Amino acid sequence: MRSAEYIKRLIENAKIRLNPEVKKTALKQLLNELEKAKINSAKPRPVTGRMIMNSRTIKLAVAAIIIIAILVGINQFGTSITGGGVAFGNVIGYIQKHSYTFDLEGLTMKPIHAMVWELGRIRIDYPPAIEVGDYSSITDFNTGQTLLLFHQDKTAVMKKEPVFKSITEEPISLCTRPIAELWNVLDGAEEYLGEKEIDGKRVSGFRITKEDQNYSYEITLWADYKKGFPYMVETKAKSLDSSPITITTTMKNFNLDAELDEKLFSLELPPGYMIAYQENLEDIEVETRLTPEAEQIVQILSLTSEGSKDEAVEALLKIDWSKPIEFSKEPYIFCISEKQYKALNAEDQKRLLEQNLKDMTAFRNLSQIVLDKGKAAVTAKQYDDAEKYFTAGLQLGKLLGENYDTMVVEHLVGLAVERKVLNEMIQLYTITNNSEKLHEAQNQLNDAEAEVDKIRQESKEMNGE
Amino acid sequence: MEDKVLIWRLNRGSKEALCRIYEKYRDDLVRIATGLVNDVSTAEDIVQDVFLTLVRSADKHEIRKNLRGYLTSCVVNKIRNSGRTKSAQDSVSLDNVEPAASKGKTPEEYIRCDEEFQLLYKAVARLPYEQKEAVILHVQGKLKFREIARLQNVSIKTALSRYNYGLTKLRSMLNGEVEK
Repeated sequence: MRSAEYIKRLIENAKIRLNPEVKKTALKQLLNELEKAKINSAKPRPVTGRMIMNSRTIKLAVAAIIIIAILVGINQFGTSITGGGVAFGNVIGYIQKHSYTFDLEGLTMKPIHAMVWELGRIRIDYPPAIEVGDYSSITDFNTGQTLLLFHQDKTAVMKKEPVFKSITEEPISLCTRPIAELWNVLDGAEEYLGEKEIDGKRVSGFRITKEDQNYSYEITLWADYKKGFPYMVETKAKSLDSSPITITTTMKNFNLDAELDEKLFSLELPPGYMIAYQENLEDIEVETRLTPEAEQIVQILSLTSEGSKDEAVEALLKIDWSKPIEFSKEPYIFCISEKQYKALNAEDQKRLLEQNLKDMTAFRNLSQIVLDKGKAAVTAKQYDDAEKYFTAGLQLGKLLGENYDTMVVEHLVGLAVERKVLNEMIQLYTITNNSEKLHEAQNQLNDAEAEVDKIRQESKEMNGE
Repeated sequence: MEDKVLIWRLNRGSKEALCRIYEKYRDDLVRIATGLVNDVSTAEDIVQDVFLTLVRSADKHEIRKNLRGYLTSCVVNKIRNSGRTKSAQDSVSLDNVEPAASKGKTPEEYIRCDEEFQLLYKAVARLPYEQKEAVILHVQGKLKFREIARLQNVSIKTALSRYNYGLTKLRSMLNGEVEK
């Protein structure tokens, strides 16, 4: 009997065989149309060539640059008013308009490798951390959104608001903040430091200071004195709490020739990853609705929890298992999957587990009571009654054993109940010499055992065994 | 965010952006359209029309919602406007239906899957159009019920009911087929 979930999966997995030649021809047609559309409407290019012109930050920055340029007569592409050397505008142009990579030193033993995408994102791949493994962050300078990817267990956290907490909680912000500040800085906000030599290289220096509610930053940018290529950026971040600490980081080895894959900067979940630790239990959507038979089962579990065992068993024997049995969101044991559980925030995970424990205790108790009554009926040679108890127990087990939507531990409990009951049924049908039902029970037992083995194997593979 | 970048670039005539959008969404849209009109060629034509409209009017309007949802809505509206919602229930072109590749399937299981998908599409074709739309858009199109309700111009509850009824009907049709 195919469940609704099975049908859904079938629909999801159905693919259509498409002719690649048709696709190619269709794309050609579209590209021709695009060419025609370009000729018909030549569009004036935006001043900065920057994406997302509806971003308020960018609009303000552009307006500010224009105003400052008019007021102080600074040519954005010319020399600075300090005279001689490269203009800050040129230097900041490399920071803000190019893709590049650099190394970040000062936070870990080995330098951290970072990549900046010209349209305003930075990706940092961090060395492995204890219990976390290796992870990466992708931050968008325009919105402050950050996607954290934990590669070991393929989970992700999306931070929509730029949140900068204390240094110990948000090391990521320390890595991204200096470049974020430079990426958003306006020409004219800097202090010129003059020229000097670093490791035999002649450089011009500029300093920007910034402060937010948690830190003060001093960012010193050294660039090639003629061309303006960034050479080194030193940042001193000082916390503004009662016991201030200062952390110094250095960005070096800027490479403006790096060819970077845009996909590395995507803020969408990579395939196989799931959002973790952020959802609320209330927001989980379940597509099925409680059917009358399922409502009966919920009440039977309540009766079991309250200790009304006989009433619970009597009600269980009256369930019509041929009718649809579908639950709404509660009890969680029937509807919340492993994936949904992992996506929950810590508090809701705890709440769900506590409720599941109560429901699973009732479920196990009920299964055991039904099984014991069946065994007692066999001993008393009341084989029809025994079969009724065992059938009810088996169907109860299948509610979880054949339910792929539930968490693994609950799925396994369901399978365990099925196996126990089927073993008793095999004995019963051996006694009553019912070869057809015996064969059927044996087949079902084999299926249940195969399913358990499969889950164990998958678990081993996930743990790298 | 990537979609916003792509649209921004498409608005400015980027061929690469168009190719990327096409590659990203075209096959899924054809799959959804096939589920609704029961014919792959018709589905391909509809999706092509949607992309042509996108290209021709890219600089005229801003796509505010997510691109996937927007393109899916365009496909649905095009199908409705073309009067293809009442296509013959048995005109399913099933030769193009194939199961997704699956690791670890035995040859027998693969053949069983193929038949199952054939049965599935026949069953889907027999659903009332609104239920079929709700099921396909939610399961394949990944649209939320709120979005489906808006497309169908009904309440969220009605959209959810259509989906549930559709799924229940599919289940009973497919289980009935299996027991034969």
